[in-house]
Amino acid sequence: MQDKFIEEIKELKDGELIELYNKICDHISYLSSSIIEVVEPERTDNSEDDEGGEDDGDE
Amino acid sequence: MMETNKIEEISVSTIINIDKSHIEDFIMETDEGTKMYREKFKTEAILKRNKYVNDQLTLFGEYKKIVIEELKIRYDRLMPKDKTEAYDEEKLQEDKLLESLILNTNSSVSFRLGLAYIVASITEETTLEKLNEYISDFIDKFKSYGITLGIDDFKYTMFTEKYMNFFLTDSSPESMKSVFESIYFTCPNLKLQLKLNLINIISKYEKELTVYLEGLKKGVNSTDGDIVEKYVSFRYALGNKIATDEFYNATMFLQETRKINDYLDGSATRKKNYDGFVLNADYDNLDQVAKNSFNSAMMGLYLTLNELKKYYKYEFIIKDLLKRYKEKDAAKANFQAKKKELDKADKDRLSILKDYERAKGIGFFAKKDDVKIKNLELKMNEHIKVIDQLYSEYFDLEITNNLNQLNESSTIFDIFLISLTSFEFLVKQFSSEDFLQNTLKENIIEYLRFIYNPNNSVLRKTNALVDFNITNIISEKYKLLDLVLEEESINKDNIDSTLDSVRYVNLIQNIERSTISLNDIKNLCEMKKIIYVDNE
Repeated sequence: MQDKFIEEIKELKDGELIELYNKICDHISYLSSSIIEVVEPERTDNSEDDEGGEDDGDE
Repeated sequence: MMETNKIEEISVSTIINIDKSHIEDFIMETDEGTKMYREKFKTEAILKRNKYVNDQLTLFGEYKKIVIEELKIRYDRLMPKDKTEAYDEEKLQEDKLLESLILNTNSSVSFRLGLAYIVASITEETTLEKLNEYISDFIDKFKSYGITLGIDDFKYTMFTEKYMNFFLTDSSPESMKSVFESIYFTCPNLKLQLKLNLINIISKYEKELTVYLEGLKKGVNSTDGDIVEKYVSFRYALGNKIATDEFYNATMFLQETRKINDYLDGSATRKKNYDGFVLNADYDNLDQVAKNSFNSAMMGLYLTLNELKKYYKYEFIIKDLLKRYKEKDAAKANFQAKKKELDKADKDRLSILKDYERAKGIGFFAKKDDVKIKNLELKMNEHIKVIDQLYSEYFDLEITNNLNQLNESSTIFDIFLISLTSFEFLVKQFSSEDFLQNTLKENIIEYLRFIYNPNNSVLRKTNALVDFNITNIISEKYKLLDLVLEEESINKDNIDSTLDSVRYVNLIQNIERSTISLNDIKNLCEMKKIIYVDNE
């Protein structure tokens, strides 16, 4: 995959390569912003916890 | 459009598109099952999606590295070579040519051989250490001409003889300090006497110095043409090489002295600077023939305005000489009379010296007479002041008299050349505060470089002995070439801002004449930012 990429970029003009760099950076930013923080549910499969959290209703 | 297509064809672009739809379409929630199931589903979906994103981040981090490596290779390949060392060598050659050119000017022998600089360095402010250094340089220079100066050459006054007697036997600082102090009380103007002594030596050996100078000229003038032409064409070629040098021009943008985006086709700054000189204020609307003639005129204007700016610096010399020109006829007779007066004063000096020797008991029937000795010493001190004053009047008349060499068709350039015929005139001109940051020699070299500038066509063509208005001449000339150039825009107050705009256009023209394009420089700037700033 990387070898193919290296071959491909050799064919690009300088301006195009810079544009590709910017495109990759934009995508990296996009990817970084796509990461979602995992919030552990308060109630897990532990029954003791279930009892204590009775009022955390769905409403 | 082309660029976008080509990038779209690259496998990475496909991956980017897949990534986006994959991430956006990732099923994160389900309506099925219990609340606990739904939450669990969501958490697992997030973890799964995050894993995918992280894998892609690693992958694209690798792609980024590969692109940076390729950009580094291309930056090094595209970056022009620094030719400073080669230019420095050529500048040395240019300096040597200027030295040869000076040998061929119509200035005095002492100016051409550099002796005049040593003499002019001795002033009332000169320290004892410097004074001795200058005398040493003077003696050494004569030695290089094959003339060994001895005590007989320094018997200008009884005081110079005494001082130089010590100097020639033991010139150690301690010894010279005590000699100077011992003479100083009877001769407070010893420095002046030594200075006049050196002038006297130059005059005494004028014939030998001229022979030596002619030998030097033969050596440098050789076979390949006139030295002025040689200097001018060498300097023109070097100036042109430096102006179009790809490394220097790219560096201006890489170091951000100038912003590349302001120079690219279509930029507002570029349009403003170009349109400001175009008759209909729209460069883009000119046809190719008109564009070519505009560009050629702008190149000429750039050189002319640089010449004009330098001219303003030295205009006071022209003004002074034109004022003197009106007195040139009277100066002719006065100059001859002053020369005779000076010769007579020199003879009187010699007779004071002769009387002094007799008063010291030297010669037939001479008897030592201490009172007479004292009186003659005083007389000499007073007489030296007279000679100094006569020299000052003589040099003042000399430059005015030299203006008789001009004729009705003489140009501003010719007048500048006349200024070189009197070194003392130049010393006076360059003693003002404006020139104090440089040495006299540096000021005169810069002045010579101005006079022999390959591009000073206006000075060479403008008749100086009729009323002339240089800004009007220049402005009219370029109006004829269809440029917008108001007289006021190039007067002393406004020339800098006009020159800035012309310089802007000139830089683009120089880049277009070189092997690097503005687009290449733009790429270099962006590559540099990526390689050295973003990823340091």
